[in-house]
Amino acid sequence: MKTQALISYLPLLLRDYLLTRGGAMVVVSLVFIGPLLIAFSTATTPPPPEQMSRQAIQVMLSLTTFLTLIGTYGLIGQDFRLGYYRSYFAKPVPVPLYYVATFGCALLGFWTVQGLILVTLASFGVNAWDAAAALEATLSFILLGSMVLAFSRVSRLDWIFAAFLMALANPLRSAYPAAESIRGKILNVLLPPMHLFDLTPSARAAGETSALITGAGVEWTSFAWICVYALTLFVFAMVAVWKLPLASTQ
Amino acid sequence: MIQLHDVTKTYRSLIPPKPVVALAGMTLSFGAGEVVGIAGPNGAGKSTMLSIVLGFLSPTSGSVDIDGMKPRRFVERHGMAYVPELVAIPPWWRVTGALNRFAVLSGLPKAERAHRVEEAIESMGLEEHLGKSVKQLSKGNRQRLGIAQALLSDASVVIFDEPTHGLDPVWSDRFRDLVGTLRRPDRAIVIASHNLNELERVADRVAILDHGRLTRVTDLQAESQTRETRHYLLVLATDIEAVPEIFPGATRAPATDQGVAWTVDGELDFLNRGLRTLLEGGASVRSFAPRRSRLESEFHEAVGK
Repeated sequence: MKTQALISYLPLLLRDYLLTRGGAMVVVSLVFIGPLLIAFSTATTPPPPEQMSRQAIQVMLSLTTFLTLIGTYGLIGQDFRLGYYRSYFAKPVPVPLYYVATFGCALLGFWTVQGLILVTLASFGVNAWDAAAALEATLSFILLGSMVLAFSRVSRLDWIFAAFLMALANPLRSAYPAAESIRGKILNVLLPPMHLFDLTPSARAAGETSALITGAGVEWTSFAWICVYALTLFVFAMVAVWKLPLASTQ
Repeated sequence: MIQLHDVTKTYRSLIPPKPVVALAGMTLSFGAGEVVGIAGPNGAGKSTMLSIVLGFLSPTSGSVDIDGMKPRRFVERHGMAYVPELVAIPPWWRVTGALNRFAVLSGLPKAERAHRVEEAIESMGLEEHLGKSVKQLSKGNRQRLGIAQALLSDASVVIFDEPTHGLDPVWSDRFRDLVGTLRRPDRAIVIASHNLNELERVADRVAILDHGRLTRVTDLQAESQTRETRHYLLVLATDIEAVPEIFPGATRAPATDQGVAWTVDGELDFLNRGLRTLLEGGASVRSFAPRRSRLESEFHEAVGK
């Protein structure tokens, strides 16, 4: 197994990732933070720095979903659809390991873009760095990214399926509460735990930025739930690339 | 080295529900040191067979063994030099960048990479295209890049799927020399091609597939001993009744613009004697040329066309 070769390949993989997806991620980020910066700089009385930071952090967190979808759609499927796999996987490369590396690059790419946004905001005098929010954004990327990845080997609509499932999760949880029926319990386990990212109004009013790390400390149960769910989907995606035939056309 | 034993591959789909048998009970082996050609009409199962050898597909039944390993395991451990029929490389990669990437993926030590890339560029004549991106390359140049990336590694299994597809005649000829340089006692080379002339020039054996079945294996090494026995097309200005007596076994061929045509076969000495007799008898020979190589004849017999 040529793990060493794959490690040497990582910088090239990251470069390709940033070249192909980085631009779109930056543009979408600017669409989100641009209006905020304009609002701050044109206000007759600028809001206090804490308020600007909180608003910027909330914008960055809501941006995470879009960055994740742009950053992970077709991450596996495109190589197969466009036939690149034939050249890649005739080389001594373990297929699942290649996509672990690819997902790792996607995460690095996401952090790079987030870093650029932070620098941009800072250049306008807004400090949006918050460790709790950064961790939440990372977990959100890993969770939603794993969902996209789980669909990626079987459908070109991977990101649509993942977004649909994500959008459906909270309404279904509300319609079938886990405490009230077996169906609710099953749905609670099967649906992505998007609700764990939701800040309660009181927490928001108290100035909290993350539902996972609050003033009272880390919400370990939520943290573990998200990690286990994401890991399960990630492993599923890797088993799919390992077990499904690489060539599928006749 | 590579053994396919009773390999069957059936494609199933919901629409249409009828299963398609791409390979049916194929048993074939490729030995180290050998160059084996795979011929067959479109849809004969050539690419499916190569995909199974590469571990891209699993057989529905039967087994494939490469040096005691299943194909995918073998590829993950050792890699294969593979040129697909349609070379697909990310279009934004530049020629040198693409080869560097494949060199890294091939597991070449850092110290060797630059040298190997340079060698591959030189052997495929890509020097003038180094700064171009893949999307700027013509089909033929892209095919050369595809061959170059396969040459980077020192793989013991080399697989070409329609390697000269899109290449100009000069590079098609050079491909023959290239196969010669790739020959090694510990290396198996498999070439799937529609081009029977190409296979005849480079292969030791040619397996002919039709409708997923292995219909025959032609040993060109043995054939070369009797290569003088070939079919020839003899065209005469006028009809001469004595032709079947001079060339026993001669058969009428469709008339050409030049005159009356006969298919004759035999060794060159025999054919020369017959031609001399014809000319001495006053016949006017308009043309005399090989009709089909033995591989072509066998191919047509095997696929019934």
